[in-house]
Amino acid sequence: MKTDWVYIFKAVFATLLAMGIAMRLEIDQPRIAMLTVMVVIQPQSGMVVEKSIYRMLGTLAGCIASLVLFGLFAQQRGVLLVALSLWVGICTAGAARYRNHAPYGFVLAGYTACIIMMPLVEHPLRVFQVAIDRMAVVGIGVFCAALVSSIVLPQTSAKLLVRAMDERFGEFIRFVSDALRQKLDYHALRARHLHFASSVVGFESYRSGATFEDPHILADSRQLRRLNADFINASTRFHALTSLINRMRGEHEYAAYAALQSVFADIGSILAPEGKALESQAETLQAAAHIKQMKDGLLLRSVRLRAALEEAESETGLRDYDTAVELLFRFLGDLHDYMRAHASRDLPRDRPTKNGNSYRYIPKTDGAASLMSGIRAGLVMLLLGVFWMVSQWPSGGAACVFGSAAVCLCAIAPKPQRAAKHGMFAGALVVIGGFICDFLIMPHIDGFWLLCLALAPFLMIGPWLQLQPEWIGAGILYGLFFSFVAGPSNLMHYDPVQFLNTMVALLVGFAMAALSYLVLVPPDSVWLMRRRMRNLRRLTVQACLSTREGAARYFDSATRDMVHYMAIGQWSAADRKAELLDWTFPVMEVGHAVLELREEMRSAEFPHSLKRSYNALLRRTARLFELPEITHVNSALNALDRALKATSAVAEVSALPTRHTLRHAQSYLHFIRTALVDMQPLLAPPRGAYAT
Amino acid sequence: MPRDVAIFDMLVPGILVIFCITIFLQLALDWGLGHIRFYHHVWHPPLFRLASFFCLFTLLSFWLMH
Repeated sequence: MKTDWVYIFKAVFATLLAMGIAMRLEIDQPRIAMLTVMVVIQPQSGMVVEKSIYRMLGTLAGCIASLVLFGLFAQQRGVLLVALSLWVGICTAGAARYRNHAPYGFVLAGYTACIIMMPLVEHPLRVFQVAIDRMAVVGIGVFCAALVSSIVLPQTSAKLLVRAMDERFGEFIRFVSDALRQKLDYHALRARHLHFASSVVGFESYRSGATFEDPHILADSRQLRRLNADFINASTRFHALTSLINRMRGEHEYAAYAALQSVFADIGSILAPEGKALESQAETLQAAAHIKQMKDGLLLRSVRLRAALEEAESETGLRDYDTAVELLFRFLGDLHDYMRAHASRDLPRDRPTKNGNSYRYIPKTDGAASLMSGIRAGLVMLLLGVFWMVSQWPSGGAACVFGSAAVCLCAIAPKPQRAAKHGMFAGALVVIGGFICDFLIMPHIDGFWLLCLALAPFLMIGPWLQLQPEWIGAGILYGLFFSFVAGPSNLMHYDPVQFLNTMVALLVGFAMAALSYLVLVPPDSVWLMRRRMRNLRRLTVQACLSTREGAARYFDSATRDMVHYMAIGQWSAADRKAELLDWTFPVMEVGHAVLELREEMRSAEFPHSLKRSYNALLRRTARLFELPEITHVNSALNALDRALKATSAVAEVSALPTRHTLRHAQSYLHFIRTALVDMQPLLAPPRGAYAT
Repeated sequence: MPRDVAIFDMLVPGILVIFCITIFLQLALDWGLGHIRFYHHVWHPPLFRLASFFCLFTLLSFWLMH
């Protein structure tokens, strides 16, 4: 991979600029300004601004917390320590619960309080002045970082967003045409579906970053969110369609499947004319128009194909065929919407944004898992503090600061354990680099420019590490602590003994953080895995039973968030991930079909007499996902068959609009049936160790 | 002349208050200009926004501080 030197130089420039301004203003600790820049700086300017805002808010909260805590418990060091541990724990739990950049604010609130309070335990009266200084210096750092990253050769999230949108569109269209023309096998299909599901979350994070840097993106924000929602609809429907086709291919109803192949081939040739991708906007719009024509003609065409099938096929085969046509019909509608939305997204106000889309999903981590992170951070803080008090170790306060900062920052990394281990490595680098810089180079230099020159090579290591995908966390930690340890003060004093003591404290703190991740309920422990599995299944239970507004949107976003989490999270054992993945597809298929079914049930045409059997079906499906056992699958299947039979009986005697509704309902019922039948091998004994 | 403003009995430099007000003004300006797609005609939008921020800030400071 090409190293982005522009970014590295920008980061160093911003850091030195912040240091210069802070020194010029004679603020006590210019190093805090440097540290701030090193932490918030990122390749994309929008994300820097977003992170900066959270940094300011977090620092403000931390300052207020330290004022309050000192105000309450300044005389009682033990109580103070417990209260501070509690605060750090609460903040870390909050950080682990939310995603994107908001956790950063929580982390900051936690360790800012720590950084302010630890050195002042002996002089609590100075806390107000220190808190004010801290705000000012963080403000300078944030300002410099935002300024440099968005003015000097900016690299915008908006550009990334547009590129990601185009790429995703191209990939999806290619995927659809390939899958319909049977160019992909089962595993490739699954992998692609997961990839698209997880891309939804990444897209949202780019979008939120881009709103901070580009007023146009802000203006288009709703349209973009709508585009993402269109994509979710199209990809969910396509997923259902392909899984049904796969089942049809695998079973005996080959005739039904063969009948549809001509339709699929036509769609494929619209989406990839002569094997090429759709490139220009005009081409895409034209293809979208073709898709619409295709959709309008589909019902007639399917009736003709069905007539030929009726002799050759069994009843299930025909039902499979009907369901596939129904799904295809809806998929073509969604695909048309998505293609149009994509092609016309940069034409201002081309399409009125639809209403009823106001529900916003805020991804959250499982409560127990985030609570564990909080407890872990609080315990690390408490243990180090107790050790400090008992041993009277002069650098104990520093160890508390380093340890709690490391454990907080690791909590928001995608793979906390690995981040903690890398943190140890970063700590060692800081010790070596800091010593060389402070005692071998600094004494020989004179003046601001030489100082910049001396610091630059050491500062470059941080952003450089950040650019290596595996080492992001280590890069941030290095930048942070190098600035903290080796950054100049306005009145420089050299004390190698104290420096080495601080370094020992740093290593002890980091080691504690790393140990805590290995010992105290590691994030990939069996218990948390089970919870995650249960949460995943519970989404379908909610889909069956929940009565709240926007349940469909919630379900779609939550499943995607789960998939994204699985893609980035840490897995020490591959079989656990495989087991979770095995459940993802049934959850997504059944959950979505159930939601659509309930949508039909809500319509005015839906006959009242059927409601009872449908509700029984929903309850049994919910129970199946609550407690997955083979008997529950069978009872859900029985309920399904009864509902199907009742539906056919009612459909025969009812008028046209009702029959229409019932036909939709039948197709969903049949789809759920195929998915449940597929689930049977998952539950057959011997059961996996984690599938409780 | 520079004045301090008391917020909860805490003396805050007046210029800081103006700075914060300007941030909101700038956000409103960005919102408006974004909606009429003004920034499509600007070579370096972030630089333009920074400049407009400082113009606003300076004007406001001169107006309120004199």
